[in-house]
Amino acid sequence: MILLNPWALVGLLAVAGPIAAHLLGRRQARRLAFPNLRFLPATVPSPVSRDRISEVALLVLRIAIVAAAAIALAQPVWVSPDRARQLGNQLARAVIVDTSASMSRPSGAPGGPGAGGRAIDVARQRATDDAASATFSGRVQSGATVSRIVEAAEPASTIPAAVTWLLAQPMRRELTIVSDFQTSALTSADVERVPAGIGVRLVQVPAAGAVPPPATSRDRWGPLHPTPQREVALLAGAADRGRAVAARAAAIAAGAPALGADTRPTAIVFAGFETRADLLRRAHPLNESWMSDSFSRVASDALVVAAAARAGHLPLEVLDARSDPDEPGRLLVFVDAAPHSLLAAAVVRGVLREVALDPASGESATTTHSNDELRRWERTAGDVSAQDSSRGQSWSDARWVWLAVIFLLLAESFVRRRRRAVAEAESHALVA
Amino acid sequence: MITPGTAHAIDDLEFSARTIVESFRSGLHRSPFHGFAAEFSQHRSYRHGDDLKYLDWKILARTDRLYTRQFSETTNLSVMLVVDASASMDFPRPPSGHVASKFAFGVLVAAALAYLIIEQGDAAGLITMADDKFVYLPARGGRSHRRALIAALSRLEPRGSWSLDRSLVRAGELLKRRGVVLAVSDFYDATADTYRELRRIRRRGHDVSMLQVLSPEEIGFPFTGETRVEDLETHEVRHVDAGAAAAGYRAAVAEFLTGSRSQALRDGHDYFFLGTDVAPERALRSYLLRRSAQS
Repeated sequence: MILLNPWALVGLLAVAGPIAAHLLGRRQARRLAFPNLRFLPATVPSPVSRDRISEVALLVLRIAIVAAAAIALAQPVWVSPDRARQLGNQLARAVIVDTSASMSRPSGAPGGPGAGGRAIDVARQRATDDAASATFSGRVQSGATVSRIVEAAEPASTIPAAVTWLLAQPMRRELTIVSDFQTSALTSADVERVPAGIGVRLVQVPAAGAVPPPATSRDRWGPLHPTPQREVALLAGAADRGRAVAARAAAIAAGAPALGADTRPTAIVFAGFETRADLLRRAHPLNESWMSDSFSRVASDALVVAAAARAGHLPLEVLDARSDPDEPGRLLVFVDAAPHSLLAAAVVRGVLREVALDPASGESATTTHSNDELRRWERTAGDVSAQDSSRGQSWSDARWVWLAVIFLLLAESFVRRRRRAVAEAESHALVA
Repeated sequence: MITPGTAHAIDDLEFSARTIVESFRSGLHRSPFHGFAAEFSQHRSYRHGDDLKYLDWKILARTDRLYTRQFSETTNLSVMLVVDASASMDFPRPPSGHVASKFAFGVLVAAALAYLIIEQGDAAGLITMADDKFVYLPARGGRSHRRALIAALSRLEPRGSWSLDRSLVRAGELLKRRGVVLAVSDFYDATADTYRELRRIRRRGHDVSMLQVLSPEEIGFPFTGETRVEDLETHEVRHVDAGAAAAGYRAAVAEFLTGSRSQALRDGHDYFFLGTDVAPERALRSYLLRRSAQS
């Protein structure tokens, strides 16, 4: 037997109530009118009857009632072999449908349901099919499937809620995400946070025909910490600061978000910045996923690559990224170039695009996780354990215990009435 | 003045008394009560079944023949019923598993005896106390007196305490001729003075019958638990652990009953115990049969 709510067993302490009542509660002495008292010696009334428990049958019944009620509140579950087998054949599936902006583009899925329509429509159709599906991970499921479909613009942020729901289901569990899986939508860390016993299934709905707008990162990386800054800081030597501002203007002219837009906390450190060496020495490795992602995008930006090649370098030879030691959560992009160089302008443009917080623009990115990558992240649902099967009140056997409580109450009432009738029969001369 | 309710009660009591008497009278070969004022009339030959009490032993000794003496009754027997109407007789009270309280049982027995006595031509009277006043009906015969006596019995209510001694004294004084004083009571109030008074009554030539009425609850004391026992007469309340006191109580009551019986027999009185758990006709029949056998 497993208890879903074992804390309710604290209620067993309440059996002390009936015991105390029977021990301490001295019954009101009944009055008996009698012909004479000459043969009846007076006795001193005892204040309590601690030495003997009165009405043992009633006491036992009352203790049983309290104990059974406490057990019923504890939600007992008897996991019989049949029940365990039944639970093992059932599957709880939480389906998260990506409804981000990128899913509004036409579906690139060849054929299949919703082919030719919007990706979101295809995703919804897939989710509906999955919810009703009797197949899971290649196995035919004979038992029922409990499904819940959740639509979210940020699938990664919805995963915890879905996991919470899944953990409450007393059966095998699977989390299904239907999305185009832009690289910004889901990371391996998001998948790894899903508990081991829960299967992960990733259904990719390709979205096609998009023109990438300036890169942004809000939707990709969820809530900001610390608060966004108004602009990317440009750290250059005193003599080069004017040139750095000019480089930013050039970047904006080349398609970077204009000044005033919110960005993730970022600074570009140019060659010649006074404390650059010290900053580089003290800086931490990148410690947030958005930093890595943004920097990789900057390093792979076509204009940056071209500018670096023109200078005779590969991008990573002239670029480096660190986490700010003085302002936790700020990305430092080190550029081995003077602010007035083409490479500096290209890097400023790339950084501004990648760390901008325009929610609509980020969804225009076309980079998605590869199918192989998604398959690596997937895993099958674990078998249901006895503890798992005990979750969920619908499986609780508390109702039978409550039934027992009702029977005990009836028995207690019967015994109490019977005792009263016997007492009345005994005492024919009770004074009303 | 007899109200319709009282008349109904009288009818009920009279009917009950008559029913009881009719139920056992066929079994009685002769009257259990004998007059003392009978005079010798003649001898006749002894016939089988004649009471040896009336066998003339002197003739038998002289002539070796059996003769029975016959008497001619000149006066009726007078029976004075002394009925205890104290509150202690009002037990057990309803609700009860028994048909009646001691008082109701005693009144019914007294009414049946009065019916029987008057029906056979004798006289019956009544002495009791109601509201600290004597209720006295002289011993007489006749249907109207019988109805009046039963009416007086039906009007009685168990209340307060009574003086058994005074009632007996009055009964002895008011019974003009030699007769029977028949006391129906639980005799809880009986004292040495009571028995002395009874002996005095007997010395006056009266026959004394003690009918002691008790309920089973008074003998067995089947109560348990802590109980506040209230005396029906004095209203004194005593806290009693009934379960613990039961054994001692039973022994004391047994001793009390034995003492009452022994004292009665020692003084030459007739004694009979009436338990309210026995049907009145059965109890009365047993009493009358035994009395017939003794006479």
